[in-house]
Amino acid sequence: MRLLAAVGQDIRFQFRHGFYYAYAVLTILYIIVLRLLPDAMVHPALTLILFTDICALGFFFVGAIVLLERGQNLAQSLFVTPLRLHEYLLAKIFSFLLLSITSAFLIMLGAFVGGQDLIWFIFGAIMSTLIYTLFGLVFAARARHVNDYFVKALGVGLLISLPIFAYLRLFDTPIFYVFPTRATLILLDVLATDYTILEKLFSVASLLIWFFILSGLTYQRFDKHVRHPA
Amino acid sequence: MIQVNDLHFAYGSNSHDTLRGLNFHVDTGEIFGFLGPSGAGKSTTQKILIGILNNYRGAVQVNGLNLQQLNSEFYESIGVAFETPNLYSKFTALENLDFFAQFYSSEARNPLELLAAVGLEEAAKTRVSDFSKGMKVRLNFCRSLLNNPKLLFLDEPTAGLDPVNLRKMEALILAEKTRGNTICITTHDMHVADTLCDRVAFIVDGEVSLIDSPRDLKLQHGERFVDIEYREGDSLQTKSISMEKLGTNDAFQNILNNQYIETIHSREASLEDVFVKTTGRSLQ
Repeated sequence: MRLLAAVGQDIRFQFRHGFYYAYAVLTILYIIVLRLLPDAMVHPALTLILFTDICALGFFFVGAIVLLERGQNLAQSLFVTPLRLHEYLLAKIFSFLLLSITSAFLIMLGAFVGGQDLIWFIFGAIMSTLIYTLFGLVFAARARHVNDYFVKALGVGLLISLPIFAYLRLFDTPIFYVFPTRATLILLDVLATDYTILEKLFSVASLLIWFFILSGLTYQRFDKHVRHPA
Repeated sequence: MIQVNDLHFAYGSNSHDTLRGLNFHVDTGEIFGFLGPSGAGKSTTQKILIGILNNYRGAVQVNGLNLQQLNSEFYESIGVAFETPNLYSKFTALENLDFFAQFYSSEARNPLELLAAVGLEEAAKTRVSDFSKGMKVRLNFCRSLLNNPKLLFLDEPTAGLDPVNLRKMEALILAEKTRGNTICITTHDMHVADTLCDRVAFIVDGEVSLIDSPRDLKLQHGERFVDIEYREGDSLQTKSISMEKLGTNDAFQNILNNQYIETIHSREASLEDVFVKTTGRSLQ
């Protein structure tokens, strides 16, 4: 009940602060771009767009939401009610998952994209959203101002996006397999490229490991800097 | 209700303690005030009592519960209004209250009745971003009462209120006391402490220098005299007379019987006088 109330409020909060409008505009723009591209380029372009949409935007937007809340001193008032920290964080994650995944699937539908590896793709999209939302939360937990957050987020965002070079066949190294973005790019690209089952399984495992690490880190950082700030 | 022994607290890696060995207790059903200037440690103490700051040293028990073992049950029975109103600015007053009410397992108080009690019924469907500071303070107070809290923490509950709403707020706080609830108030407003509190603790530089009832403090630190202003012909006269055996004091009886008295006051100390005398500091 508390979790449902918190999820509902976070969705309304994102709506009232214009996040749904921003995503609607971007989604329409992405669909227009994909529809204008030659058929052969649609799948690779879709992979890059979803990577940008889910990872980069999610990363920045979730931080912006936390900082907007902080600007209104909301966290303290929530933590003196029976709402627990894990419920507060799950509400952020679920509400953002809904926003991000809805946008991703509307882009797919708008571009008439589908395929037999859809399950791998959906798993990749959901896990990527979760991981980049958690990345955003980890950095937002301690940030005091939007600028502070964006400087840190931009640095880390660029760093973890390095495997994009491998996807674009510009540069590759085994180290990229440690990055969650490598797994993300593989699973978001399964509709366009044939990957071995081993590559797909590796990607799933990589995203799951990152998810558990970041979940623990997010909880610990919020407990220390938001729930009990001292 | 609350028992605090040898409470110490330091922010972050600060080697200097913000709270330095606080000892006090709050009885069930009383209004207990923390009185002190800005930065004295009042809000820090309150944040410890409501479980926000947890890396303190010393023993703190609230309602028999050690604060290191807090759970969501604890928050079912307390209400908190922070000094800075923390509300969803793009939501209406009613939406704010409806949202917070959902977190409690017990039946919440009717938000519209609470808004009416603080004079905000007309603004129920107005967004908080359009509220004045005083309106936000009143809405914040409503939120703290949603769950019928047995223990209420109010941080500067009258800050930013006009005189009419100040009186209304004082009456509402006293009404909570008559319901048997315990209330902890932090304030630097002497009038609030004097009017509302059964007992006050003076806090300066993280230390409690004195705890007593405002009435007793004013009497203990006052002088047993009455000051009288009266007219004698066209001139204003003043006279101070000892309160000892006042009924048989000839000078007093003479003024009472023969002069036109304009004012007559006993010379108890003001709470502010007591604070300055005890702590050597002003409240500003």
